[in-house]
Amino acid sequence: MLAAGLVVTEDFTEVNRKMNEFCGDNYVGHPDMDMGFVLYPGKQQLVTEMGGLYPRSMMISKSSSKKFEGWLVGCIGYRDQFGYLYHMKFIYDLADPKFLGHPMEFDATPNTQITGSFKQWWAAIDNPGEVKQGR
Amino acid sequence: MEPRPDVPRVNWAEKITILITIVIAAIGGIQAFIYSQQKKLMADSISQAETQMRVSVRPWIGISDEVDAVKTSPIMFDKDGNASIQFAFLTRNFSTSAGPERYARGRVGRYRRLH
Repeated sequence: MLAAGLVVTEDFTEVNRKMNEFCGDNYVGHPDMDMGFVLYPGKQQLVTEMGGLYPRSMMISKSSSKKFEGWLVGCIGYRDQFGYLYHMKFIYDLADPKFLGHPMEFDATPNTQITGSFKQWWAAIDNPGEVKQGR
Repeated sequence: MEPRPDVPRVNWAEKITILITIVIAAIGGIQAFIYSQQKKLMADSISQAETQMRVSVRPWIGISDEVDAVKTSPIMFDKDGNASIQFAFLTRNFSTSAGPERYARGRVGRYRRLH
């Protein structure tokens, strides 16, 4: 399963917390509830379409500009044929289309929209010791 | 202390027999310890072999390396300043083994398989 969501903040602790939340048992690899597709190697690809909400009350800015950044954070959980659960965590940040790769800062102005392109900022797989078996 | 006449004295042959029995028992104990260590080493070796085999055939699923692997709508702020977004991720199995992608029931999201 791929679980992901939007985070609008200038606090990286919150970004990290949200990413780890998506890797938790409540979202991916729940031992009693997991099910899904078999994804074979090769050109086959799976599209996951989702929506994300982030309330204004949770937006925090620790920068001097008091502006925010947009993040897409999430986790892919999957098992091998022996039942071992693996995770792949990822963070994408919103980049300014005028300065490709440069993080975009913006205000959370009501009734507006922010357009940019999300670029991969960080990704990681499990440590071997974190891999666990069981369905 | 005077030896009691009704109790037979232990001769040298009996003393040597007792000593040899103790030595044999000690050797047996050492052998038991060595065997248990060998068993532990063999179990560790089998476990390592299993892990190596599993890692060599494990699936590696991640975000696709295509340019449009991540598609998003603009971030939209409603009248209260709450943010929302729609997005789609392309995932792919980069390994040579099949990997069941699993998800918890009842979660928001639509899944569509491409060829």
